[in-house]
Amino acid sequence: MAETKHIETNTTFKRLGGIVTNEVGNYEKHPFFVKKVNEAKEKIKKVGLPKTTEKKS
Amino acid sequence: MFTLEKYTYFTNISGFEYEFESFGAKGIIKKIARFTKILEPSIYNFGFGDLDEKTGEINDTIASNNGDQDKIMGTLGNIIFDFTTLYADAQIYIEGNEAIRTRLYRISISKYWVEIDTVFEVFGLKDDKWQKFMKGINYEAFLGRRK
Repeated sequence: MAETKHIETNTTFKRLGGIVTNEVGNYEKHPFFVKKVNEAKEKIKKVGLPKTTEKKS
Repeated sequence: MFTLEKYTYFTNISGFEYEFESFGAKGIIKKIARFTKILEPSIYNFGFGDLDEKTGEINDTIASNNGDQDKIMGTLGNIIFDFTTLYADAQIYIEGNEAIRTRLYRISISKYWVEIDTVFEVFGLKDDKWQKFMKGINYEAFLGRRK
């Protein structure tokens, strides 16, 4: 009898303090986060970064 | 902060998105957090808000007042800790939507500073200049990275 390979389609496992699941969506293009990212980019463009963070020692 | 009581939180394989539910006086409120790269090589914005599951909107302009602020902060602290474990070079930019929310972040960082300071290097933005985080100063934004 041929071996049947079982493929998990909804894998859930623990990683560090959280639980990884493919039920958590991708919010990258959500207007809320797009707005936040644009505001943050504008702010950093204006004020720069702390000197010591520009190159991690 | 990292040892505070926390909610069970969920993430996806990338580790950029996180979800958890707040249980309190106002009922169940779904919370969404996301790290988004804003500058190469490793500057990430940390965004966080309440998800309205009916409309899909995320809002950080309303105070949830669910009576579980410390537990939420404990959860967020753990999320940031996890993310910076997965992405060790990440530097996290955090800014509240308004002064009162940024002040809340400052109070939380101050409250758990002894614990945070052992793990993170934190800067505060004051008058458009970055400085090492100090308690008692109202900052406009924060930037932190693992030591």
